[in-house]
Amino acid sequence: MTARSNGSNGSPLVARNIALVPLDSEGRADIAANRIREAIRLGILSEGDQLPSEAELSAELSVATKTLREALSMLRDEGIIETRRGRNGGSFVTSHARRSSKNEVLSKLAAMSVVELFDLESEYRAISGVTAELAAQRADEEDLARMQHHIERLTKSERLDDLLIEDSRFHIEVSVCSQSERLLRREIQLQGEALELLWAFDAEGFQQRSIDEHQAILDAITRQDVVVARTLAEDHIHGAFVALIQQRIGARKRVTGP
Amino acid sequence: MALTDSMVRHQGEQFVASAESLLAPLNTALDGLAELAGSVYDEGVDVRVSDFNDVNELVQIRLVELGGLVSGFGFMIAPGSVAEVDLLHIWWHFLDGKPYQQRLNLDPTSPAFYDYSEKEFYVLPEQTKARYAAGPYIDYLGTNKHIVTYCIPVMCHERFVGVAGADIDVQSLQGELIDLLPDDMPLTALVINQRGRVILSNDANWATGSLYRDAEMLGGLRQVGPGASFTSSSDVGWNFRGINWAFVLLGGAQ
Repeated sequence: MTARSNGSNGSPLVARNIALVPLDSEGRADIAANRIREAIRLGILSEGDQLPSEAELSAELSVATKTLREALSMLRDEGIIETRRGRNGGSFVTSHARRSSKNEVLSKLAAMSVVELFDLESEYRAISGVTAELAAQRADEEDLARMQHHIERLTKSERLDDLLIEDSRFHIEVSVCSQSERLLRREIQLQGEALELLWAFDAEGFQQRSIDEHQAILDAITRQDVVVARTLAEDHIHGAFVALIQQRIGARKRVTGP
Repeated sequence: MALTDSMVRHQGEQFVASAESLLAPLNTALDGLAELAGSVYDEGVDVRVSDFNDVNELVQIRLVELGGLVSGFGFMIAPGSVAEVDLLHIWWHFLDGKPYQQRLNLDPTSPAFYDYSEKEFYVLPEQTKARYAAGPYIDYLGTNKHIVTYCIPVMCHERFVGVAGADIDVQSLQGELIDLLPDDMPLTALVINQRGRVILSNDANWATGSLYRDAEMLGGLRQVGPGASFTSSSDVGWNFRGINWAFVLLGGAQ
């Protein structure tokens, strides 16, 4: 009985190439640090605020104290938080925790490949579409009023910081209406990756477009038009990414062109 | 009433009764907290933050007793009813078996401002002077979790001074209530709040947090009051007695 091992008979002796799906590149400490960064971006924590105790934070983020300390140390190295000793000691949000500068955003964009951006768009589009669909099924009148409120605030906003916050809040309220904790969490993470990039170029044009598109999405949600709400939410993300990816392609051309 | 037979009706009534007794310890704890918090205002006009030390203690004790089903517990003042502050939220949340103070952003200029006095769980008890459970909803900027917030008005003599309340963990609530529902219930059963928000169903087509939108039934249930039942052209529903929930059987009227 020889030479039978090289076939598709399922022999356990045959080594196969198994395509394993890689883990997300982030470790647990990175994820914990990102959650805290998000809280700062969303205004939940602002300059001078004290972070909760280590015990509370690790319980809230569901990580071991050791992992949390790693995360805090990363944030300290970035200058986002500082730790003071003594009786009133603890970790505090610093003034450096603000939004990135235009140059920082541009280098963040330059560090991402076009393929990565397309992939980010795919995920964001999927999340946005299903979120809007569920919101159209589940939003009540109070929910509609909250979403409308953030469209009006987006209309009135002038500073880039406020524009980003109101854009973010509209989409967060849609996620809240979906009644899904997971979708809300994903929306917040995706905003953390994408929002600054999307607003980095033509802020004024992007403001007008966002107002109109948010209103159209909300109108569809109000009519409980599940299909249109989903399509418009997907198109909203797609359109924003096409503009961004065009910028990214253009930047490469400028770097390598004549 | 061409209703389902009397057995289904009996099952429904039994379910409502046992669901209400599940909430009894929580109701007792809320009543006790409301009484203590109301008594702070007995003395007279100038109530200060430091007058709530006993309230703060009691909140932690009760939260640890109720922890699991209840993920947060506390008292929220009526705006302006305390000398030094406009809003005050004496609220603790339960994490890994321990109570932690819940901090909310009460700064009106912050994008993360959490104005509890405009939320459904505060406004309804204030308006109706009755207990009220809001949600399931996702408490963004609060706990960020899927919860029901159940509040009762706190009165000092005739004056409304705030609400005592509890955050109920939706997963635990759903788990406890579904066990009370008979396995052989032949129709789709929903537990909804006054606005039609679904708390529980025996039918996978009805997600927790989704909306039952039958205006006829919702209007009818509001009209008939606590403990009473209403039959629409298609469904039948019973109001709970102690909480603004109703038990609805879809197709129960046909």
